[in-house]
Amino acid sequence: MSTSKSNGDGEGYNGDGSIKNGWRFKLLAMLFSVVACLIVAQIIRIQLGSEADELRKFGKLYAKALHVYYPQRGAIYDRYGNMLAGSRRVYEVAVDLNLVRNPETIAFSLSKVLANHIGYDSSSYYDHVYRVANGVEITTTNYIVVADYVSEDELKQLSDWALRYANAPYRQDKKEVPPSLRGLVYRPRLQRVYPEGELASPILGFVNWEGVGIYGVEEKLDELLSGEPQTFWVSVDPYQAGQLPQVADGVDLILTIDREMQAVVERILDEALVSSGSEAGTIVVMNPENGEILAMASTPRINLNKFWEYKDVLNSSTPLNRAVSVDYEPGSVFKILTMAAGLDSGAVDLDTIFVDTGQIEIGGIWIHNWNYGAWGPQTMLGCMQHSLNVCLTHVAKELGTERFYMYMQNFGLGHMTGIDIAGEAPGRLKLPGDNDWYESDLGTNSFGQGITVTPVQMLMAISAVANDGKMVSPHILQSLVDNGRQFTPARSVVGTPISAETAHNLTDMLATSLEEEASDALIPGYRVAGKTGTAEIATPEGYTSSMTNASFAGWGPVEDPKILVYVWLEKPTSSPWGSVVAAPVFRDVYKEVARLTNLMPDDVRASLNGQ
Amino acid sequence: MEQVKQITQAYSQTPWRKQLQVIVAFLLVVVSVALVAGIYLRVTSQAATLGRQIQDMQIRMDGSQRLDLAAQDEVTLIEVVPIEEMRIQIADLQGQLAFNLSATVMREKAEPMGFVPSNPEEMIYFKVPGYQGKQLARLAPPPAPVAVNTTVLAPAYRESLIDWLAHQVNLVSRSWLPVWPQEVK
Repeated sequence: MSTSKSNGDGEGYNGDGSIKNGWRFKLLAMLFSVVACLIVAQIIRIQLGSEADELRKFGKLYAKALHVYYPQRGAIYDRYGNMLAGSRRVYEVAVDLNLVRNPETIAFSLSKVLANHIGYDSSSYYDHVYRVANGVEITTTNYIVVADYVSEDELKQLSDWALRYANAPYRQDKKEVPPSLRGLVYRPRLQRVYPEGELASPILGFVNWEGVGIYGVEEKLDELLSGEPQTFWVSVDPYQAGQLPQVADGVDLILTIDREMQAVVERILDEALVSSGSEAGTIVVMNPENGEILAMASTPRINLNKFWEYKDVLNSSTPLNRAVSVDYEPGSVFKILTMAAGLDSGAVDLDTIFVDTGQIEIGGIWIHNWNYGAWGPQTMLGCMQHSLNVCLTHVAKELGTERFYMYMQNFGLGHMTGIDIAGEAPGRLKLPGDNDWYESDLGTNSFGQGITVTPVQMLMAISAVANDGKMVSPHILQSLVDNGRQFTPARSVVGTPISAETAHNLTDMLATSLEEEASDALIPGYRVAGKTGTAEIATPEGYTSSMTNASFAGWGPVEDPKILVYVWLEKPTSSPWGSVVAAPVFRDVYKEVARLTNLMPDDVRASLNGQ
Repeated sequence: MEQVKQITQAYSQTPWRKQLQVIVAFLLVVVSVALVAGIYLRVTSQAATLGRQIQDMQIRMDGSQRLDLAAQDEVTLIEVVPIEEMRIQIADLQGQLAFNLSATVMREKAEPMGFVPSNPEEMIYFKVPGYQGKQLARLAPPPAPVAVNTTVLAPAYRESLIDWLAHQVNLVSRSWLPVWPQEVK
């Protein structure tokens, strides 16, 4: 039956059983083998050939992507955790020239959406993008940033434009390029924002377009806040996906200020400037026990969310924070320190009687009282109560030059306090031996003339009187949060310029002085100590009584001071006297601060403590 | 002879059967290789997909997003957000929250609700046992304390028998250490 088939002599086989036309299969097999060999040879050639190194280098260029990590700038909080400076998501909008199809469309959309965007310049777009996209100009980069800090709303508008172009009907047969925003790319980033706007702007400062802190804490602690940008290569090979390097973000800061108190103090300052007609003003509230600044108001203030307008408010000679950056001759408020030195050294005591004749000679000049009057026999209390220049000059003379300046140096005058705010002024304490020091300076310095200090320097020095003789360093930084841990630096006493007994005696003296004077600084329910200051302002023609610096330094409660307030009003017009314009401001501030800190009135506190 | 040939022919395989065997064997090899290759491809593709997902979750590899694609494709708007961008989003939300809780906004909300600043003269003070007052911000735990071994118990009261044995062996071996190099010489 199938013998012939089984013998292989059928259609496809030869008589000997071999396949008919087998040479064709062999030829095909050889062909495939040759092709396979050629492929292998080519692979080997590519791997080992002369261009192998070049190809490997070329491959490496695309094997990894360069990534720059910008650490998040640390946030700033007040003492109770309210955010004062944080971040907002914005976008960097750029053009990827490799992808651009229709540069005209991109130009038109950008000019419509970003017409009012700060920093967007449509002519710059035409210079840098339009010309390159049209081949008029050659550039070395394909990524050109056209606008930065673009808001979420602006990006949404651009996105709407892109969608509109994508859905717009156009005739396929026409040779013109269809409208498209292809090539417009964006990436998110963070911009500094200040939820409280103007509040505490002299303390905080701001971050400029380049991401650098300017003024205030932002400048002083910029390195801590900003962190270090890190650049690293990321493999695009998914098999090599791994842990990226851990990059630390900026450090979060917790300040000593209380947001509510800051707002209240700023409001009081603004009202005081209006009522007194002052040119500028400063109020600082500090805890004399540890140097924590609870509030620091200063004028002018700027809306930190529109920091670029600061040049409209601040000219080259206007500092943002007058409490730190402006030194001035404080006037009679300085007598606190002179009297502290006199009492502590034993040059005078509480019972010392000074007969005021209305003038005293020192270094060849005559010192007079503020009213050019003679006040007759005065105790040290009377000298302070009536703010007698002649008496304080006498105290300084009793102290002697060496001891007087030694005390003033121990109070930290002439040196920066080291407060965590940029732009601190050192003030000027002329010392014997300096070219411009004269013997008469001992007299004028004793009542705050011929010496310049900043409000924070005065606070530091007076803290010794309000804190049992122990002087503390004013500071604004309470804690910092780094790598998930909160660090609170230990604050220590920076000096003990006077004894506790002197501090208590002087505090009591100044409290009695206010009470006997029926000062506007008195607060019902609270016994406070303090001293006014009215300083004539030095001009090239000499001191002028038409322009004054009105100050007040006060603290309380007298038994255990918790609040130290310094008020400085510049060139008040309603009255030149500190007792008239600055003392009521102290009273208002103290009342509000007592309310916000739950500081009970003296009698309530005594009765509750006695329970 | 003819008979032998016939017998041989009868018991020998037909050429097509031999060919079939060769083809089947070849196909077996091909299928095996394909199977292994398929498994390999599946595993490597899964690894590549996961690797890519990890990379996508970490950072945006090409750095920026295309506006035209983001506008047209809703999917791209809800795609996986890399950790880096998520951190930006969190910071942004914290900022928004701070704006909504700012002193000005809170005052604007409080005043229509009838809240007024407290008047010190109307305040009534009383002691609340245990009340600490308004507490300072605690945004993170304090630094971990440095571990200092302050235990005063003698080792005999803390060690197990095995610990003690290990300790003794360690002590003995240490006592030999200085001697060994000399012996080696």
